Amino acid sequence: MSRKFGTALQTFCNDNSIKYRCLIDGTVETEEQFNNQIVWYTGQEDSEGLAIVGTKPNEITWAAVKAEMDKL
Amino acid sequence: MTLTTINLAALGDTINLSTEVTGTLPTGNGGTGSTATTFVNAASNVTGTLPSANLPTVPVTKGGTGLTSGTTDQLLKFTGTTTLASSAISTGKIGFVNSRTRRGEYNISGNHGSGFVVMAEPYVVITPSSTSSRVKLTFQVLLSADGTGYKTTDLDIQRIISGGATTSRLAHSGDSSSIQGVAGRTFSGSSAVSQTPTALYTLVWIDNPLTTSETTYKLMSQANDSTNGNLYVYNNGQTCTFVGEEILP
Repeated sequence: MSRKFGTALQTFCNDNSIKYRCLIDGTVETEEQFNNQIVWYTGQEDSEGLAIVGTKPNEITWAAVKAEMDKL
Repeated sequence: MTLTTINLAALGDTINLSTEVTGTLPTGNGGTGSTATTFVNAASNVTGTLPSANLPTVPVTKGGTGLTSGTTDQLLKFTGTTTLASSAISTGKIGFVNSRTRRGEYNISGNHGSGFVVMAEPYVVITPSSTSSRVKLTFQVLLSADGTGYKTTDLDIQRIISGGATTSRLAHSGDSSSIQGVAGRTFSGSSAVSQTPTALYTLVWIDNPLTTSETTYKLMSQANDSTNGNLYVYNNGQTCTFVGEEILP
């Protein structure tokens, strides 16, 4: 099982120009998995310390991350 | 000398045993030594069934219970040095048991922010039979990380009572100083880390949900990092187990 997606995402956002936080459930190797297996968060916490669910940064697209995955 | 017969004719008179005989015949003379009891040889002269109405209640001091009845489904308990009584004494036995497994990692990925996230799997569901029951949770967790910089992770538990309250971060909700929940792990110092060895934890938590409603438990995790990277919970190549057991009162 590959961890390429996480590594690619990290590389893709390495310069910190894009801020993100997400929970990835399992391996992501397809666009369908990219769309359905990731919960994106705002980076903020609620009063109970839970991460607040947000939306995916526009810059992070399947095509962009896949391009980084293909370089690995 | 053995008494066998009395020859009343030879004595020239009669004896009315019911009115004219008094006193006690000593045992040495073949009597009972008593005016009211009948001598019985229990070893050889007792047969038949003694009615239960004739039986006494045997006290604890004579090896009995001192009881004539008890409470259904309860146990005998010494309530004093010489007294016994029915008691709903705790047996500590296990009631409802539920377990699930997880193979496949979660990746808490990011380069900013924090906060606990809830992992959907594995979860366990317990329906306690008593509000006094406790729930013992035993769970294996595999942790690893990659990326750069200092990384820590915290683990805690979410409890969802059907039709009732949802309590996130059980350990922290019980003790606000427990900011790292049931376990915390630091993966690196200030230097870069890459694919740190997977660490296996087996953790135990005892919960007191105070309900008989269906109760679901899930694992929560938080990645504390200010730098880009991935924190992996569970693993793609190994199976972890999450077990919930009801401990009866």
